[in-house]
Amino acid sequence: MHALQDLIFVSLTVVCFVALLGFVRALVRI
Amino acid sequence: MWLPWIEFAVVLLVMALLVIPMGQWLARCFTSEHHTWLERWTYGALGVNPQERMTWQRYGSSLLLSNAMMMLLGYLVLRLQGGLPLNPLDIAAQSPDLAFNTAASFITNTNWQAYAGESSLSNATQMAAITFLMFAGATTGVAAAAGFVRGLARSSSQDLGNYWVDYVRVLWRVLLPLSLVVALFYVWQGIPQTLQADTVVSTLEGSRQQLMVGPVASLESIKHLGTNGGGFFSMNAAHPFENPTPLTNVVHILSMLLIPSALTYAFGAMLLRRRQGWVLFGACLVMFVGFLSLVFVAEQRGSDLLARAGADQQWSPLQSGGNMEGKELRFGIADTALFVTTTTAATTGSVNAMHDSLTPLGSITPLAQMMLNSVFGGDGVGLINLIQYAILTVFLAGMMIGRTPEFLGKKIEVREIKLVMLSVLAHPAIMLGFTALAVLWPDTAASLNNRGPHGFSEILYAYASATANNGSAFAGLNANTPFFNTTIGLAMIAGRFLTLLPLLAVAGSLAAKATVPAGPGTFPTATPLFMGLLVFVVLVVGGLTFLPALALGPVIEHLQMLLGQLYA
Repeated sequence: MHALQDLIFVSLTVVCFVALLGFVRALVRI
Repeated sequence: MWLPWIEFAVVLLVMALLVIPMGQWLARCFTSEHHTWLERWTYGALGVNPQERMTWQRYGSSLLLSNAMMMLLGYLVLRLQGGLPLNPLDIAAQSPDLAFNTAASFITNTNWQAYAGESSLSNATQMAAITFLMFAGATTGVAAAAGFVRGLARSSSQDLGNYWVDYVRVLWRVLLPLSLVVALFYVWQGIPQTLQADTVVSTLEGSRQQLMVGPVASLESIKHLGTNGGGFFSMNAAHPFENPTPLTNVVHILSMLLIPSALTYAFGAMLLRRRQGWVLFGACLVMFVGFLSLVFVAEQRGSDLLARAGADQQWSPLQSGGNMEGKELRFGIADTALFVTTTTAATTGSVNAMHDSLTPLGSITPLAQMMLNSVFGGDGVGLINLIQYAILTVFLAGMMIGRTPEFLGKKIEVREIKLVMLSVLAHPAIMLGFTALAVLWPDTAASLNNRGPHGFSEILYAYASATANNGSAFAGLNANTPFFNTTIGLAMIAGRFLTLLPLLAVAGSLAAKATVPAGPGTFPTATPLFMGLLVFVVLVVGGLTFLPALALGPVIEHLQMLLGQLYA
């Protein structure tokens, strides 16, 4: 159970930071 | 009765006296051409090229990637705690949602704690996850300020400097040496610094009591210098091992204000516009004194309900009087009010009293300062947030007189204003959006200690604290649930980076512009008039944005309290 939750929260962290990198790219176009 | 005001004046005077030497130290750190052998060794170990000149995108991406890696490392340590050494009490690992919340909290310089440190973290974790991330988060903020100010100082350039050089220098030259000195002072004052996990003592009644100890002094020093705020113990700076003497209380306060206030001077020194730096310092000081007065007067006046309950609220040389609920007798009203104001101005989050027990009017001070997020602010980001408002101020002033706004010799145009507004709006959108979600969430009521407007304040405070990367808790809200751990974790990450990145883009945009000489139509920004306008803009924008939420919480609670209505 905890292994699945670990996967979820590690993935969530990675997704957050990848989205933030995308945000940087989006800001360039403003 | 004048004694508290004299104490406030003396503490603020000492802070102001420290601004110049600390500001010069920071400016030298940001502008030095020389790399020490320790720094060269660190660049080699990290595999980075210190000569690389970074655009704002590269600077921001490096910041994000380093923070992501350190957050994942922190998560790993928290989850593997049970198998790590220095855990003689066999404390189990944090649950995944709590570990996510804790790692997000400490890497974003928030230090929100949904756990009690002494019962859920081993000494290894306190050092390898908590203290490590405290250094990482604070260093990131100051390094970001270095790149941001450099961008404002440059002309016709794409270059904000080198993130890794700024990061390594801030760590080696500023935070580590300062933390060492302050930690030794704390040890002298009686704060424990040991690898032992606990000790058993005989009490005055003759019984045996287990006391938790550990590397507290080293954590306390970076906790305040780094505007972090997470406590070794759940009682934070109200615990006698974290804050044993009046002197440690004052040093905590000065440590929190040291770097945020000095950065205004460093900003002026780097731009060769020292008066501009003092204007920013003055604007912060005016707001600080205003909010300090509000919480001090509100707490000293206390409440008629306390009087009816038989509490003696009269000040005398032997007692503080006022509303002493949730406060330490040894700190009284004055030292509590000063601590409350400082910890939320500098977005530290360390507490020496229970903010939940402040009077409704008194609780507006911490809430409002987290909402404005620019009254000195956290290490590095506070200065950046204030300059964001300064740009907004010249824009509004420019619109009023029909001229193109200029700031620091650069024309402020559509792109900069779009980016500034993105940052200005992201802050309330995250805070109020998550608050609205939590209010609607079916399980939230079970986490609240109070109903009505006080319960709303408990939720609002949690997300204000998370979004502003403050970390202090109002108390009264059980936030250690999967919903709160996840949403507060996301609020901390979004609150940190969705405001910081657009402002780094502003710095990049301004760096690329040519500096224009001041003309007769230029609005001077290094004057007391601009300082007043800046304070006005911060308060009006903040007021228009957050007053409805405050009205649903502390304002209505205050009015109800006058009618004798309580929300238990």
